[in-house]
Amino acid sequence: MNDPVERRLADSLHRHVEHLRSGRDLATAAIDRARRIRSRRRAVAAVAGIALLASAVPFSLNLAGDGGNDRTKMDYALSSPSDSGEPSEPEATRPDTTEELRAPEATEPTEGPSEIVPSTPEPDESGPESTDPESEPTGRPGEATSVTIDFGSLPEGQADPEVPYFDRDAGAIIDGGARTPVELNGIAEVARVAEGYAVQTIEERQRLYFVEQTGAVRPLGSGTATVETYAVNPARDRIAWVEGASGSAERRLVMAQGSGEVIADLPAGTMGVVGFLFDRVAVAGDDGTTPFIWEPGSEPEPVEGGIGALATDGGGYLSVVTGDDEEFRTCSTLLDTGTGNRELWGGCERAIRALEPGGDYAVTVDSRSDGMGDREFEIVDGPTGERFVDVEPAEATYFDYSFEPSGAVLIDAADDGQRAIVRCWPDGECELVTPPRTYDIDAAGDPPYVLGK
Amino acid sequence: MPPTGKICAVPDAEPPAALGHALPAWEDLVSDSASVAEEFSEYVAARQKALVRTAYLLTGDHHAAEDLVQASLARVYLAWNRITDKGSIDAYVRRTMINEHTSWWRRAWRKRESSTDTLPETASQHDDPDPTERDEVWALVNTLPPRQRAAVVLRYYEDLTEAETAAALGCSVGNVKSQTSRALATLRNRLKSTTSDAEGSTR
Repeated sequence: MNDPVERRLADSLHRHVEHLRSGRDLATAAIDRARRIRSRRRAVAAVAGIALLASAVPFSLNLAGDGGNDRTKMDYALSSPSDSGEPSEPEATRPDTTEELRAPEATEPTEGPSEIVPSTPEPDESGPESTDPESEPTGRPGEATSVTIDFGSLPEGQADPEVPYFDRDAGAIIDGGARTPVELNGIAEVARVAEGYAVQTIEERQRLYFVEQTGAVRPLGSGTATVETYAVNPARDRIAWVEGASGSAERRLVMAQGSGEVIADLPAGTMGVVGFLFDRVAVAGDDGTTPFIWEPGSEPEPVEGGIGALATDGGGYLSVVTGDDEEFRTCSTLLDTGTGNRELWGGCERAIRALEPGGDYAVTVDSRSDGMGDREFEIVDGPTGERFVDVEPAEATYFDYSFEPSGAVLIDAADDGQRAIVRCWPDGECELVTPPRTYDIDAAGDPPYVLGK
Repeated sequence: MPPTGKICAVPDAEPPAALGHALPAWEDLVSDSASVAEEFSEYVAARQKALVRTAYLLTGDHHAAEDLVQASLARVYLAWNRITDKGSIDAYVRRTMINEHTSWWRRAWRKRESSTDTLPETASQHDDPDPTERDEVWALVNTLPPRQRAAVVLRYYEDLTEAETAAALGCSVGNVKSQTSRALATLRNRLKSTTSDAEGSTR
């Protein structure tokens, strides 16, 4: 190195780090962060398998006659095998009405799996950018609508959320017209199950409780164990969870009745619950190992080609991680486990964050997202991956997603110093569902709302 | 000026090798749960100091450096079993750190919504282990765009070859040469103008 500037540069760089020390335990911190990433990604979809039965929260009771809420999935779905919102019959194969749009046969998973793309032309992105409820909805397959979410310009929705949520100010789970007071600190997840709710809290560690509709609370599992991931089945009569601290040899995968009575359990290793596939549970590790599907009474079945899993729809759809591409992005594929794990679509740029029960829609985010808050997301067609709505980056941040029976997606969002639950339909219309409350995103305190499943 | 897009072309680097496709048995996986964490922790214990130093040169801030290393190591842990050649973990970590840092920088820039001649800072230009010693070169390194800065750090601190630097940046050797020479030209010009200013002010 003869150039004096180069020598000076090298000297400067070396001099500036020679006294640098690092006292933090970065290994433990990195492992914890990785597990939170996986846990958060799974928890978002962990109870997406719940089909909110129309009989439990009557759809019509929540409609206030506002034309904007008078929607069914038929308004914008390509095909909807379960238009009524009731769960599909087990083992039923979806009508193959999307044959012409089905992704081409995927190649065998390789080190850098090739992009699996729909065979239709690229969607036209010239749709109007609008959250104006008066605008003509244009979202149709092949015509993605671009929207931005800004609390200040969103209309107020008339319909209550069709999934439960925890209102921290009220200290209660709000579920349609029902209100269940809960005296638990650090509530992080809520899911309707049996005659109550499965509630996860995070304080020093994660725990799982059953909350009855009277508000009475009892622990699920061994009570004192850490429960990082759990899921509820579509019929809402089974819960699966993994209890035991990460790294512990005593971690157990537990399948229980909706009331919490244990049906079966087995050693879990590094596995965590991803979600239900009807009455079977999908589990995956956080370290690049094969995911499995388990039903009590049988051996866990490995999912060939997968080295992780992201989400289920509660029916037959399972999103699996297949590898990394040359950009070190995580690649994933959506499988139809009801038809021999047929690959539907996938790729390396996007990752599924939530699946609509029944699989008609999905929310995707940038595959590099760490689950700690997204700046953009898309609503896509479940069976094909075609984009319906592109929620573009603006100032808002999105933390969690939960589909309603109507096909709309509820989003836990923060914008301009506030946090609220927002509803967006696959045609691009969005509205506020809860009043925005003050929230300092940088302080990262307890949010005012916890979106449930 | 704001970044106008990717500096480097489609990367030439080989992706990490995949696992073999033999299906594991449940019993084997659940009985071996502690070994991945142990193996990973041993790697971090051996390399943490070096990684934080490189991260410090990328970010200019000690706290940000540790955050960058932690965030990058979390991604590496998630991919640990997919990296069959454990000798290539350093390369994997390095590449992850650079990509992560670039993402941070772009998010910070987008938040500012402004474009100025002075590049946005993600860290103090004066966060220096020895604040009593003014180092013009270091101050100028802190103004380089993230991938130019990364090229400089990899070539002149980590002493990587052009080919190794290209692999870490995910671009061609030609791009590494041009990015490095551009960074050096910038440094030369700014050092010259700094010297001229100093001479002018003493007149």
